[in-house]
Amino acid sequence: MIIDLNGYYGKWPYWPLRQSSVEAMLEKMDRYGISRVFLCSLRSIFTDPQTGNTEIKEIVKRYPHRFSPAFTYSPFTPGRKRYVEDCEEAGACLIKFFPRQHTYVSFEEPFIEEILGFCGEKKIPALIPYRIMMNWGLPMCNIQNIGRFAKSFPETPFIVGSVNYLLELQSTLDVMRRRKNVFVETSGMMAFREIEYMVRKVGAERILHGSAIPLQNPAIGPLKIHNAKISDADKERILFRNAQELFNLSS
Amino acid sequence: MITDCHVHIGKAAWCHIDADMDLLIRTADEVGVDRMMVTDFTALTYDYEEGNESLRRQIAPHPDRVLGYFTITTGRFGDHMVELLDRYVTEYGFRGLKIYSVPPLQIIDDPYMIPLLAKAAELRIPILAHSTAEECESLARQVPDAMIINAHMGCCPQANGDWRRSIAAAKRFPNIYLDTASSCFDNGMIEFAIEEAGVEKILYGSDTPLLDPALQIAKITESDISREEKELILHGNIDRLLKWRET
Repeated sequence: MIIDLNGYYGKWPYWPLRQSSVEAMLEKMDRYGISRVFLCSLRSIFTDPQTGNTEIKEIVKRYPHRFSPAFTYSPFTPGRKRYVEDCEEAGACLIKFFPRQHTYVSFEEPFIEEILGFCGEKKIPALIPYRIMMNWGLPMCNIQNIGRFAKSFPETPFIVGSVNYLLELQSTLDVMRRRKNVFVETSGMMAFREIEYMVRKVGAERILHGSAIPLQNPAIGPLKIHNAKISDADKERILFRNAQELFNLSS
Repeated sequence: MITDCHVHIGKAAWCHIDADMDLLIRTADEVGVDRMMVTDFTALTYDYEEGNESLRRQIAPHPDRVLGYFTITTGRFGDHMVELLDRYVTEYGFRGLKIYSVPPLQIIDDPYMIPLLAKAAELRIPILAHSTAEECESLARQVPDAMIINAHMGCCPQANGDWRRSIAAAKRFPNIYLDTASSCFDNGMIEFAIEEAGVEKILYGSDTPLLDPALQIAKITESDISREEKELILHGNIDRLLKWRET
């Protein structure tokens, strides 16, 4: 079993996306043993969060055993207050934040504090991608800001997504060292023996698998965990057990 | 069979690496790489004379397994560099030239670089250029006989991850090739490169020991391309370029 915290649906504004229909993603998920993907709408990132979240809910309704929703909200768009209703309807879900694409400074927006408080109360993980996917041309967010939020909202599980190596990894490790409610997602990690390094530094129980399907080749996400020189128990934790616990999922 | 056209050895403080030949050989054995083309970190970032001399000594016991790139920080250390490139290729058996663009001070689209590229073309060796597509195009225009491999095919910070721009350069210029080593695993990247630039322009590279070579190999093997195309990328194309010197 493999649970994938970092999947997307929709159009990609920078180049034509391949194998991005729900059916094509299901075929790839089957090929690489990915049981469930937390799906976030690209429309919700680039143009209209509310309509994007609705698209995702419809996909989850069609394939409840394969997809779970990753909602996103902006302080400046209509429908932002729907998060309570969206999450209560959805059951297992996560909320993603895109301050660079939605153009806000997290600490200046009371709405972000409100929603993070809600996440803490309901134990809904907040995933903040360092970048949407591991491509050097995309804007990046400030990892230390995630640490500041994690301090202000100790009951909220925070997940740092799509970090690669060197400075961005060092900042992530610093935040994880200081705040026990911070986890990391693996879709951006491409360095030599990086998974082993992270298991040594923070423990397998704080690492969660992600592939960035269909933006990135979904073969790579599971492969880097399977290939890592870590115990089978640690691989299982990263591939699905940590997500099962965090989202209270049975499958 | 796999030939990796992009491997490093030595110490690099900027990326926290200290890799010796044992590590490279052990890693190549683990992932099934038969031949590596290696550049020395000291030559790349500090002192080309010291770094290339160190590489010469380290690859000597492994002539069938490890091929050397003569590597430089910049072309600005005088005519002696051209003489040294000639000696490393003709006497010591090095098989390529590695150049590295880190603007603003370490640039490759530079008048001082041209004599080195012309010498590489004369020696019929490939040039691995860590650079943008635009820099490769400029060099390809100035030295049309040079065989330029655009390292990372645009997937490095200074090229802004713009692999489509690098593919366009390889499509337009017959002497620009693409190296697949990078942190980017964008879906459809290899397929698009084949469709646009042609499979013969694409060379497998890993950037070991900075990046994970098993994932870099999977970038090719897990693409939706034919077995023949995978074999060309994994070794056939670079093997063909290396034979250029023998013709």
